[in-house]
Amino acid sequence: MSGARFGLAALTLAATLVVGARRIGPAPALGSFLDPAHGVWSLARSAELPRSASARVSHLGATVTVIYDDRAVPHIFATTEDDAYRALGYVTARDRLFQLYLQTMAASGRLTELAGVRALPLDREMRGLGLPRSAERLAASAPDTSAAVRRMRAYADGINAYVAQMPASELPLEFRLTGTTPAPWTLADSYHLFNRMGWTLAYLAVEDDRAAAASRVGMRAAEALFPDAEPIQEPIQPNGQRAPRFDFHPLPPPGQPDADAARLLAATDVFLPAHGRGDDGTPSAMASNNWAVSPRRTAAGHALLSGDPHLDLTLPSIWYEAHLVVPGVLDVYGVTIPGSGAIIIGFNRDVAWTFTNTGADVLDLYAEAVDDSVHPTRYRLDGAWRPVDRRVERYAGPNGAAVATDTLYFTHRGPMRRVGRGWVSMRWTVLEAGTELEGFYAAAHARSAAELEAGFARWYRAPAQNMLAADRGGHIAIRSTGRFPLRPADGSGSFVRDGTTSASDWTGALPVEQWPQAADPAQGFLASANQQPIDPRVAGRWWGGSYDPWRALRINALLRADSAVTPDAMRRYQTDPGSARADLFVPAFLDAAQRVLARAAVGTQTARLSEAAGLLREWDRRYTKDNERAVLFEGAMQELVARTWDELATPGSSRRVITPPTAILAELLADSASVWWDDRRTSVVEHRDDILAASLASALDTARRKYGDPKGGGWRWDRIRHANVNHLLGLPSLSAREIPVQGGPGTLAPSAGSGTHSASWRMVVELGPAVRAWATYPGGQSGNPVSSRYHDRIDRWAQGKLDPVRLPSAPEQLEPAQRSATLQLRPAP
Amino acid sequence: MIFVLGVGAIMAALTWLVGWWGVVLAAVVVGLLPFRQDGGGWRVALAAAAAWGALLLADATVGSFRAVAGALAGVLRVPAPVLVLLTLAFPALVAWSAATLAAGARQRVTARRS
Repeated sequence: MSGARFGLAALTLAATLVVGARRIGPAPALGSFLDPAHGVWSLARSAELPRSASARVSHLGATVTVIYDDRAVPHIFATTEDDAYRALGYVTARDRLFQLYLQTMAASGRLTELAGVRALPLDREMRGLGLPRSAERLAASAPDTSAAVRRMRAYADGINAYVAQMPASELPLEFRLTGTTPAPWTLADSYHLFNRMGWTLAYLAVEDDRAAAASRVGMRAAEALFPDAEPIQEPIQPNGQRAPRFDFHPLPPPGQPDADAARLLAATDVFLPAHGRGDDGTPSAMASNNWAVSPRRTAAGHALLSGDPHLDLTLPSIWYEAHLVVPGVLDVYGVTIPGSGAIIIGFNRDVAWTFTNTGADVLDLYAEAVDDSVHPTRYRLDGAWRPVDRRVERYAGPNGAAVATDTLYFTHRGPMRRVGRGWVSMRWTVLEAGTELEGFYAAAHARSAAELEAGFARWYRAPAQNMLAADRGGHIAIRSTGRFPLRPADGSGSFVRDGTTSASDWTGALPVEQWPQAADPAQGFLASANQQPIDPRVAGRWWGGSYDPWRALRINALLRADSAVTPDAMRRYQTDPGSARADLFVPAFLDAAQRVLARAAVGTQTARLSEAAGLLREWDRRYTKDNERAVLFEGAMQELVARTWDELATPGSSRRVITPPTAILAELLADSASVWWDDRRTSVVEHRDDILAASLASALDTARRKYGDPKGGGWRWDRIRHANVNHLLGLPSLSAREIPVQGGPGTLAPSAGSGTHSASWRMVVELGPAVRAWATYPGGQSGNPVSSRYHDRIDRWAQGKLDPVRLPSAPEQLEPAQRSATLQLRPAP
Repeated sequence: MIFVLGVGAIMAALTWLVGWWGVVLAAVVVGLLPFRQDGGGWRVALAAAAAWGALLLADATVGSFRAVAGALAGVLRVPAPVLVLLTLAFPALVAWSAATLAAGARQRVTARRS
């Protein structure tokens, strides 16, 4: 053999062994990746669940039968609750293993281990808020005597049992791409998940919005732009009115920038750097709806409930649908968040429940005095020094080496961070929660709406939710449930308090009887859509949230107009294209245009305005897919916001520091001569009609430039607005993007911004003699991108359709044609 | 032909049992065997490609091969046929180089002894 050939072979072998055994950059190690027996190609064999399978699970008391129905929903039949939750852990891991892993990494601030240093800001935010510390403490102190903790451990056992015996061919694609492997599931991981949900839902610091506004226009104006009492009142707790109330007042003029606001702004920026302030003023799509109807207002005479939580749209979905049956003990159906270990939204044979986010301010800041301005070891409280709790956080990279190390500081209130030359600590109910799962386990057993509400009131702390329930006895009830801190003095949480005295600390929590709530109201229905929970005229206490009224106005109008509601009507309402926001603003644009045209000389400008008004008048104010005028309205609204709130722009820029909600813009419409209407960037002084007319005319120009002729088909809503369901890693080819949907900003099925937030689970339950339910979510049961169940529900979801759910009480009640797979879990010897 | 089929069968079995290192192991053993055939290294490479090709075929027969290929092509931004070719070329290169090196080493040892 020639030396050259020998050398070439040596080089080739060395090269192939290196690329075969080691990751090079983002490329996986090719040997194990391409191996057709165990590598990525073997996923072809595990894409679909086998028709029949069995497994041994340790700690299982008796055999558990799991039957997957024709929608791939596992129906778990067990003889004890612990076994049922153990099986839930097993089937969840089987379908959603990478999601479990990634969620935990994100919630525990360990994304750098996956993505390297680029994930450091996200990890620093999680750890800086004290969320992982809180979860670890909860897990360490979890009492073994608690039934809930026992079930959480059983759930973890189930996950780990699956991972331990998972065939190589079932290792999810994402693990192979990232070169990672699943770690054992622990109790702390479930607490991490709940804390992460708290971070998603319970950060609503109105003080941040106000401070941003005050930094430009002074505190008096800022308080009017972000008021304690919303100007449009359609509260969750019915106030006896038959229509919404418009409490419109003139806004105080913009004042001088408030220097003190900058301090508060700096503090919130330190604690929550990733939370950007919206700058287009459109209603948030990060929202939820729920409503229930009493039997006397339904066609069949049974209570009806609609659950419609809106969250980030991801593939796989945040939700996983499941049914747990323990004969005579438990029969609960609904959706779980993988990792939570409980049915979060759902129903049993007697009662159904769902919730929306309450959005109260449950986060406060305190200016602390410390002994060392760089490395504090003590902080001052009531004239004495108290030790600072220090915690060193190490961030590891994919190879295990440290990419950064931080020292975090904690007072008795919570995490303490350096802000400018001072130190500020934060107290947040999410960091002091931990018994929420008890509430969900209690809900699964509840026999009435009252019993369900009582269970949640006892156990549920954060993030506060508007818990809605309906039962087979015909009762409906809602309660804004959570821990609402009582603050000293005026009770407000909108400023940085003095941390050197315990007199600044929370004095307790609002008693249950003072929470916003209602049961079987005279109006015959209950609805929540993230609006202000209670009428300030009924209870004037500081609530401190940030609310949009538009969806609440719409669902209340629909329910008031329908005295014979059917399940199908409930379904239609979930994607109703009507808009209370458009109903209010479109006439304002048209009236303003008419007045401006009446007084203006005929010319090019008036022709543009006249055409724009004519086009807008053609719109029925419904965000249907085929409408061709919503785009003009939305453009006009954007122009209106920009021209009206110019006072909130940073000097030398058109970018606003904050944008008031559209309800405030509606309030301003009532004051035609307010100084806020004047666009200070122009040489003339404008009034309301000038700004409305100019916004409309300008929107026509923009729409024509971007989408072509108004009658050319380019203005169709479904060509402009889409839902985007992104893969958890943001991989485009594994995402479902540009899905045409009905709805727009402020409609019941909101479509706004990037299209990545919307209805994450839709459910209608009829509480008749036999419970019936219909549901869907934008995704599929399997987290495996090559499975036919990965996103098989998206089409029907986009069409606003629901699937009837199957509710067998025993395995034999599912016909063979209704089964897609069976799994037998047997006790390990 | 029989040589290729035989070695391919062994490589497929070893891949199934121990993963991709099975290809390396089989190629080294074949290279060390004391018989001389022209083009032995290339025939070992062909056997390795055939072995992984057969395993791919099994994946395709049993499951959603097309879906996997489509997902991989999308994620890696490489056409699916290229990925299949890479899956065949990788073991072939490993096997050729391992067998050639082993054979060369054996020849040198033998030459020194004689």
